[in-house]
Amino acid sequence: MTLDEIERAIALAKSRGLAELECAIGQGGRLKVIVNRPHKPVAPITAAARPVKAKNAIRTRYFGVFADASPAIRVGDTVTEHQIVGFLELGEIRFAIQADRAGRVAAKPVKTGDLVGYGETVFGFE
Amino acid sequence: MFDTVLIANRGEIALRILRACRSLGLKTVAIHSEADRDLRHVQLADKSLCIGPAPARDSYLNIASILLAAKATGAGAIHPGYGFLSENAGFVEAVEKAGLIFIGPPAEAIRTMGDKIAAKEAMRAAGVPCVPGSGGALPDEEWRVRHIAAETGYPVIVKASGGGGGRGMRIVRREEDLADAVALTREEAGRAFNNPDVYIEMFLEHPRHVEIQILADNHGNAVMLGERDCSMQRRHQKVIEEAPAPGIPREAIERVGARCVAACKQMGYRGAGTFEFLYENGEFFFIEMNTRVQVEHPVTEMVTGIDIVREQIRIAMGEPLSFTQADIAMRGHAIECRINAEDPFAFTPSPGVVETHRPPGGPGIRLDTHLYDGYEVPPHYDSLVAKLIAYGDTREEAISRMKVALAEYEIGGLTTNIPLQRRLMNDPGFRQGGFDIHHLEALIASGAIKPEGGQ
Repeated sequence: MTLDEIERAIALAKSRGLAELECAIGQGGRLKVIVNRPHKPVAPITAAARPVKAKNAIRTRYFGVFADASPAIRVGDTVTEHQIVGFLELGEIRFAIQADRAGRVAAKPVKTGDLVGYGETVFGFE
Repeated sequence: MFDTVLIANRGEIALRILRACRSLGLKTVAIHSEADRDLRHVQLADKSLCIGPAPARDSYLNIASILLAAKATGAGAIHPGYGFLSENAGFVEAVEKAGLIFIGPPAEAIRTMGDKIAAKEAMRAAGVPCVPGSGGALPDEEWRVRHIAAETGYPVIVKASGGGGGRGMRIVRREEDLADAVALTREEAGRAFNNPDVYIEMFLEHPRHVEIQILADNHGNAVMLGERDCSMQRRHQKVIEEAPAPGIPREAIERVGARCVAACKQMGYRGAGTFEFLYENGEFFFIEMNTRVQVEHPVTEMVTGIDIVREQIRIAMGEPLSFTQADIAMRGHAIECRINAEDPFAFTPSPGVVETHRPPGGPGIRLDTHLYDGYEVPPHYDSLVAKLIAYGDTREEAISRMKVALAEYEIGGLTTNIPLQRRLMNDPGFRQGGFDIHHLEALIASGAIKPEGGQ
């Protein structure tokens, strides 16, 4: 592939209004052209419109009956990122609940045996 | 037998089902999406469980999650409401395989009625009148298709077997347009419904939409609860429904109704069902059967005194119908206005927060809604937020009560189609009754329906 060919590919992507163009060249080679377009001015996100990311809690990603990890995590305990802090049980299925960050547990609104819904807080951080 | 019903739906129908369960002394489980934590029936249910994020495919359409939720909450039966999984035969089979009871018809009946050609064959076999046409799927040969269309008589309508609700159909007025229309509809049907079968029917120019409500139990009883006229439509979406249908002789209704009852018995139907017909020049033509409770069921409840949702649950409990055909008499007239969270004249969805909810009342007024002060209508689902029903001894009385109720009804903060419904109550065509299914779209096209201030 020559520089000329690459330039032609870029011109083609631009003229057709493509943002990305990928093609195979020769044996196993690939050319990917990404066209940088001038960015549209982005409206500033207002406080109300900003999505609230509840990073201060561990939330469930499924529903089921809560079961403690062994040993059980209690208020005041420190957990590490990716640590398994409990389980959700649904019949024979068991889902592990992982901490998505390290921190000290300040609240634990559920106990073993509670039916917990999707998106519910099982541990709150300090 | 079951003592707990899982409600696999949302909004006003979920609340309606909850009320019916309570009237039978049954416990309820509300399953809901993350966007629906604040629904009224979720607050009222004995148990509630959030089963997934807002998109329906991850919550209300997620069969595995719903069945697991039923197990986790100890529910013995599932009421599907309307929409979502209510007419999904695979869901019914999964529910039954899980050892639960589906409050609705057998999977087989849903499957047959979901295929428009199979449904018509079943109806013809039971003597239910159908629109003249090809009868089954069209053959591949062009000359044979031309022959069928000529026999049917132009204009004809080409329809997809897997379609429905206005999707996958094309009107043909001249023979030279036929081949293209058939090819195009076939291609679209293959893509949209995974079933390229199409059929031809005579196209009716000015039909009314008249439907027959039936209830059937597990003991071989089936009863017809009269008809509803749902001709006030826009893009195949019903806007106003009423019972009885103005100006149609009772004997005609009873004759077609008896055919529907016979069809139910013949196919072993169970639960509530609706046979939809086009009605033109004194004749009924079957279009499709809905194998579930309908949005507009309250108008039938008002004129017959039968609680249809309660009966659905009783039938699922194995009980026989508590009445016979001879006990059913239609008394008075009922009208339902669908209240949608949408722009009343542009028809664009308009979700948002209900700042104040001031419901109307008075004699003969019924309001089925899940709205309350501060409730936020989420953008993810259907825009129906309330059904306002007015009952009167006569149609005139029902209309005048509806006018008073619509004038009174205030949903502060939310854009709704109440202004449109107020206009329609004064429309001469509506007041006279017996208009066809194109009436509303013609009104809109003529500019007769305009925002307040316009004429």
